[in-house]
Amino acid sequence: MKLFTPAADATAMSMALYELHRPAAVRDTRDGTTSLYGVREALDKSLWLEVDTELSIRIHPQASLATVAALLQPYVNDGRLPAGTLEGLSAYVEANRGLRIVVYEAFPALFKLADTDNPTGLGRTFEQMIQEKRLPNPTLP
Amino acid sequence: MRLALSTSLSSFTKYGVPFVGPLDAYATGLGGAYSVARRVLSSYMGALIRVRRDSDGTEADIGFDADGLLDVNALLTFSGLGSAYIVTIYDQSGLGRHVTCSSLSNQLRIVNSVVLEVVGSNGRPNGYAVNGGEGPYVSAAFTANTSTTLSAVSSFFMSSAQVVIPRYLSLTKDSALDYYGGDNIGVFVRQDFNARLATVYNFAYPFSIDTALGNTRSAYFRATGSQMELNIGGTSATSAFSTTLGFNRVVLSGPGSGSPQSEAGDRHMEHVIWQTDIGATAAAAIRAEQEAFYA
Repeated sequence: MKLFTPAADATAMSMALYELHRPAAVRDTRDGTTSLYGVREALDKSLWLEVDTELSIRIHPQASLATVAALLQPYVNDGRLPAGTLEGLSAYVEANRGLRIVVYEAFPALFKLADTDNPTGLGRTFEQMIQEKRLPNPTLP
Repeated sequence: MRLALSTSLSSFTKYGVPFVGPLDAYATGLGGAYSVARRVLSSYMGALIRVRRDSDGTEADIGFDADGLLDVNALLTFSGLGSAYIVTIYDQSGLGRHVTCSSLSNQLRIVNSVVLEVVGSNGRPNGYAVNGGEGPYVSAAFTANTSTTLSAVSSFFMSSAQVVIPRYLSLTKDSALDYYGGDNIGVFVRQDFNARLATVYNFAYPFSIDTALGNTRSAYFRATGSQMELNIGGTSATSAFSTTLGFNRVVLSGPGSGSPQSEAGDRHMEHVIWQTDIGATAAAAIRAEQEAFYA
């Protein structure tokens, strides 16, 4: 399933997430893959990560959460993410070095799909993005 | 080492006969030539694709064998026990308009757990769209091109009923072919399109997948400034074409999930673009050759 998660720094976040799989230090200069998810600009110019909820990656043994944490820190600072979120993510990465994880499962609830169990979630389905007029309706006339 | 060996032999086939590319006779005016399955021009000596293996993210260029076909042995050796995804499809035209998909989740898959992605009874390699979304693209390759004359021949596999060429070969952003609005400036493009090219719908719908044409096909598209022609399976339809905008960006998988331009299950084999009108006869000949190769 693909869903959309808002992030003003979506491109930087997608690149930071890819670092978990393939740190810059081990890449070849000719490598073309630089990010984990695609980024969409909505009609209102807001930026959204195109998140494949089933995508799994192997956490590189040398992976660092530092960049992801830096991008999430403002969310913790202003209370949108609960205290302890970054520590929890760090522990998760440490526990999974060298192993495959489904990235979406590690997302803080804030960035997951909004539903009855997660009413404050910011994630949206493609259909919801159209209903909210963030993306054009694909139905041909 | 294997790639180097392939390249050193690339001027000749394994029988010692000089290699002749299927597009050698149509090289004039080329704007981009992309194939994940074969070398299409004898003048091209580089790799066909760059791939990323899923196991550790390592990338490598994959070339062609002595017959000009994708070096499948090298690909499978590189991908090992896992899967491999296409990062870049190199432009064989010599213009350097390579198409790249930098986001891991949107890359086309070419090896699925040791098994090569193939299509047709000839078993040709292809790029499989796992998720749809934005696929390989090159931005602004045609920025300086304000021409509205264009020809394209493509081979692909459609996962569902959708219009054909615009889905597989959208040239955005201000392109007449980005009729749908799947790009980031969707509404603008769509409104713009509706004002200028509404008739394209009439011409595209007859080629929906629910016809007897089947999913795998080759098609050509020609835009000459006043008329568009779309030909699939030897059947043509034409439409008025009156845009003042040029083609300025190549997208081989289409931007945007849920868009008619890209869906999970699509397969890409070969796309060739000319910035000239190559004429219906040449277009038909190239389409037929592709169709036979990918049958």
